[in-house]
Amino acid sequence: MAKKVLVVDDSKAMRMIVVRTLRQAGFDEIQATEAVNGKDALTKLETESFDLVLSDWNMPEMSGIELCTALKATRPSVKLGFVTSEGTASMRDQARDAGALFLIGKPFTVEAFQMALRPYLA
Amino acid sequence: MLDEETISEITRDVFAVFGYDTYPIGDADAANGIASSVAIDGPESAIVEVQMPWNIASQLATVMLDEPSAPGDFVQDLAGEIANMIGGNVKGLLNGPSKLSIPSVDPSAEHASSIPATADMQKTVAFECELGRFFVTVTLTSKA
Repeated sequence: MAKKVLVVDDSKAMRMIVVRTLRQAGFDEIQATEAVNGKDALTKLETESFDLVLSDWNMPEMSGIELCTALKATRPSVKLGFVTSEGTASMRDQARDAGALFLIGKPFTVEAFQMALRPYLA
Repeated sequence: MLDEETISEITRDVFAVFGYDTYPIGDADAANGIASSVAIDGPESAIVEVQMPWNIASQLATVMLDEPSAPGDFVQDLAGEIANMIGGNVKGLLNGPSKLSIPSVDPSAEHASSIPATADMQKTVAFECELGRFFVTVTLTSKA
């Protein structure tokens, strides 16, 4: 059965790059759904379950860390990792404290995706 | 240290996502074309701007879409993400805490070679890749 991934990013180009990299990393059986920000992701999560949420950090309306915090409070079983151009030590701490599984920095490599995502998508 | 080598490394990694090798060719004045930028606001503030001919951004977009051509709004979106990725990495090198803006894009920017009066440093690095020449400019401002 195909794994379901919710890709959250305000950039359509980046959502496509993430999905393309997922397939290049060998996760070519995944079923990807896209959301344009944290609010949109929460709406989609109300009606559909996903094996993994891959979220950008810096987005209008609702950021990735706000999404992560909201999920920890209301849907703690949802697995979320960040794919973001910002990866300072304090942000990694903040992400971990909010319940994120990992933080992949942009620009990313196929290998980074394989290492971080294999436990959840393999 | 935000020098030419660091800017080059970050830019090289970003373009590798699209499958292109880039080579810095030193200082240069940026040229006209699509310009995308992000601002970093903090104790050390910065503006990161990427300027390239439209055809380079368009060809990068077609690689992503795997189509012979790309719609203009997608090209602009992609150009913004390039600035966002470079800016996010520059942010990690500055004293924080700081905030990264959402990218802004000017599809037909005319380059004005001027350094803001408040800037501590401005560095423009020219790059060559298979698609042509493009430019990355970082302007740093420290708050007193």
